Amino acid sequence: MKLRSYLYPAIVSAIALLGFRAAERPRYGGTLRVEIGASVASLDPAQSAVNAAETSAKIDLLPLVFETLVVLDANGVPQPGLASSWDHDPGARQWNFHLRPGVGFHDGSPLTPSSAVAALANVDPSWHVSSSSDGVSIETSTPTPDLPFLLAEPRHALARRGDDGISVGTGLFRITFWQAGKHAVLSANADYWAGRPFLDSVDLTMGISSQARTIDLQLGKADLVDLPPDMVRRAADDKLRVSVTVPTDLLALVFQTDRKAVQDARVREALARSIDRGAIVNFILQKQGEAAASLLPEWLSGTASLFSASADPAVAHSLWEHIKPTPALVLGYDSGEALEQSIAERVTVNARAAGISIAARAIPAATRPGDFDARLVRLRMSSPEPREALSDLLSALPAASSEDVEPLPNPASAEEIYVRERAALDGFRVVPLVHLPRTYGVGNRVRNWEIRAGNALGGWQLADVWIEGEAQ
Amino acid sequence: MTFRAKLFWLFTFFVVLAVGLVATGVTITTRHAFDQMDNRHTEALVAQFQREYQRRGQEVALQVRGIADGEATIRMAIELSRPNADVSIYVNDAHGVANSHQLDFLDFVNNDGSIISSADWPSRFGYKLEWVAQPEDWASRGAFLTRVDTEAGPALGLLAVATLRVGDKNLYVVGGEKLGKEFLGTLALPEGMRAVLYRNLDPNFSAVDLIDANGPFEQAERLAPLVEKERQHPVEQMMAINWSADPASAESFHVLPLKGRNGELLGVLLVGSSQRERVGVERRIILLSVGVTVLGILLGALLSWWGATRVTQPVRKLVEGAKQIAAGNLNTWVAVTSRDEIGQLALAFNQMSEQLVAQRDRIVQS
Repeated sequence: MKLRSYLYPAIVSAIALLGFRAAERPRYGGTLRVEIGASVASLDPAQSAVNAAETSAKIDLLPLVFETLVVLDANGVPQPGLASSWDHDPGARQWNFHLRPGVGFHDGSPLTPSSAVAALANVDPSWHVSSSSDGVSIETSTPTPDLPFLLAEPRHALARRGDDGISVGTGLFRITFWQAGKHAVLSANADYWAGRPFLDSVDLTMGISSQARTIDLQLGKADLVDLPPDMVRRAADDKLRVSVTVPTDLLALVFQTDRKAVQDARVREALARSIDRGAIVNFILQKQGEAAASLLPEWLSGTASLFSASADPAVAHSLWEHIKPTPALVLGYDSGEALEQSIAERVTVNARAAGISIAARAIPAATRPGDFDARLVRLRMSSPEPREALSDLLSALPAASSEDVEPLPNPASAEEIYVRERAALDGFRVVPLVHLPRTYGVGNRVRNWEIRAGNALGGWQLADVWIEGEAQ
Repeated sequence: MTFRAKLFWLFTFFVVLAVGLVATGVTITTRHAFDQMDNRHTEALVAQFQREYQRRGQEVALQVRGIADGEATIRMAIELSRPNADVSIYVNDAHGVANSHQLDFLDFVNNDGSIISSADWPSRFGYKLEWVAQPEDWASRGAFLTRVDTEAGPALGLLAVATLRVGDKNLYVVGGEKLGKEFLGTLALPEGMRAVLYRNLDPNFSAVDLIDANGPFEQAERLAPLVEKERQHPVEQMMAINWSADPASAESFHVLPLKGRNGELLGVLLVGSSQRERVGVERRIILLSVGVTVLGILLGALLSWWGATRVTQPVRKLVEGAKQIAAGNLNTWVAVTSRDEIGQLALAFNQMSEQLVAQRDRIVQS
C-alpha cells in the first residue's frame, strides 16, 4: 500500500517528464500554416514584384524554394551555400565559386556549372559569368570585395527555368501548389542536400487582413503570420508570441522634383522639418522601429545617430512663410497599405500645424507617381553590408541625382558611406522617416523559429523549425 | 349713344365690378389663409428642429457620459494618472468606441488637453484641444454646438464633454455628432418646405457650407444675402427670395441662428416655404374671375338686348303712331301689350287718338 502510494506519483512524474522531454525533441512532420497580408504573384526570382509588400513577402519566401551560392550566418558573415567554397584574385575582380556536389533542382536535374551560369548570366550586366570545371567564375569590371554579400541576396538565387517556363529551385521546399496571390503549398524536399526539413509542408495563404491574421493566430488556425508593427504590442498583450527583427525597411518621403510645386528646396525642407518622427514611431508604430533621419539604420551603418531626426515646426513655418506663392502639395501613399496611410496622414497633420498646405491621397495602381508632389516609399535593406545596402537604396530611390548613382568605392569606409549618405539627403529630395522591423506572430506549437540580426535581411529560415504535437 | 348701348354698358360695368370685388376678396382671404398655414408649418418645423436638436444633444451627452463611465475608460484614466504613463497604447482606442456608440466624433483627451486618441482624425494624436482643459463644469453644460476640426476640414458638431478624474488628473471624453445633411434628413418636412443649414465656419460666406438634406445646396450664392444678413444680425427673422421672374418661384425663409457655447454664431438654419401653391391658387381665382367676367359681359349683352327690346319696341310703335297722327291720319291705333307704364301710355295714346277722331267728326257734322 505504501509502496503503491509512492509508485503512482513516481510513474506519473516519469511519464510527464518523458512527455515533456519528447515535446522538446524535434519532430518530423506537420504543416506550418502561414498567413500573410501580401499577395505574391510568383516566386520566380527573375519576376519583379508590384509593390513593397509583395517584394518583402517574396524576400521572406524565396529562400525556402531557391538558394544562393552564399548565405549569411546569424552574425551576417558569408558562409557556403550552394557554393561549398570560393576564392578570388588579390584585386577581388576574378572570383571562383566551387559548387557543392550532389545538389539537384526540384525537377530532378543536377545543379551544374552551366545551369549556375545560366541563372546568374543576366543578374548584373557588369559581371562576366562563365563556367569552370567545378563551378562558376565571375569577373567584375571593378574590384568587388563584397561579392559574397551580393550573392547572398535572395534576388541572386539560382533558378532553373524548365521547358514549361516555370522556374524550379534547389531549396528545402518545392512548390506543389500555386494559386497566384492567394494560396500555395510547399512540400518538403526529401532529396535536399543538407537533409530534409522537419516540416512536411508549408501551407501559405496570402492576402489576409491583419485583423484576420491575428484572430487566426489566437485561435490556433495559423502558426505564423506577419503582423504590422502597430499590432505587435497588442498581440504581445494578448499573450501571443511575437518575433521582431532589427529594422530592415526604410520608409521615406520621396519628392518628385520634376513637379513645379516641389522644385524649390525650401518647400521640401519645410515639409521635412515639420515632421515629428518620434510620434510616428511611438504612436503609429507602437514603439516598433526607429525614427530615421538617415537612409541606413544604426545597426547597419553605425552612423545613423549623426543625422538629426528632431522636428522643428517653427523653422518649417518660417521657411514656408517666405515661399511665394505657396503651393498646395499632394502626398501619395500605397493604396493597399494601412500603415503607410496612417503615416502619410500624420505627416499632413504635422505639416498643416506648421502652416503647410498639403493633402494625403492613396496612389491608385493605375496612377503615375508623377501625379503626386511627394510619395511614401518603403524599401527593404538588401544587404547587411552597408556599402551594398546604401548603393541599392540610392539606385532604388527615384529622386537620386547623377552623383548618387556613381558607384561607391569598394571597399568603402564608414566615413565614405556617411559622406555619400549625407550628400544624398542634403537636398531634401529624400526624407527618411522611420526604419521598420519585420514583425511576426508565432503560434504556440511552432518550435525553433528565430530571425537573428545577421540574417534578418534574408528570408525565413525553416530548416530547423518543427511543429509541436504533430505525428511523426 | 342709344338707350340699348347705355343699358349694355351699365350691365357690363356692374357685372365686372361684382366679379372683381368677389375675386379680390377671395384672393385676399386665400393669401391670408396660406400665410397663416405657412407660419404654422414653419413654426412647427422650427419647433421640430429644436426638439430634435435638444433630443440629440441629450443623447450625445448620455453616450459620452456612458463612454466615460465604461470600464475601459476608467482603466485608461487610472493608467494615465500614474507618473510617466505611456499614452501611446491608447492611440487607436477611440475609433472602435466611436463606432460602437455611433458617434461621428470622439476624442480621449489628456489632463493637459492633448489628444490621446481621436476617432475622426486618428493622426491628430498629441495635438492639443486647449478649450477642453480650461475650467468648465462640463457635467452641467450638456451638449453644445461647436466647430470641430477634422481631416477633411472644419465641421459643425453637437458635442458633449465628460470628465473622469483620478487623483489630481482629468481624462476628458469629448464626443458628438456631426450637424450636417444626415441631421437635416431626419426632419419630417411637409410638402413645399425644406430646411437648409449654413455652417458658419469661415470668415466669409462659403457656398460649400450651405447644405440641405441632399448635400450641397444648389444656387447657394442666391442665398448668400440672406445668410450674410443673419451673420450681421443673428436673430430669428423672416426673409423671402424670388428664384426667378415667375412669382410662383418665390420662397419665404424663416431664419434661425444657431449659436455655440460662448454665444458665437456657428450655424444658420433656414426653413424655406415655397409660395408656389399659394400663387397657383391665386392664379386659379383670377382665371375664374376673368371667365366669370367674360360670361357676365356676354350675359349682359344678351340681357341688355332683350331688356332694351322689351322697353323700346312699344315706345317705337307709339312714336310711329304719333307720326301718323301728326301726318293727319287720326285713325291710328297702337297695340296695348302690357299694363305697365308703357301699356298705360299706349292706352292713353289710343284714347287720345279716339278723342281726336271724335272731335274731328263733331267738327265735320257741325
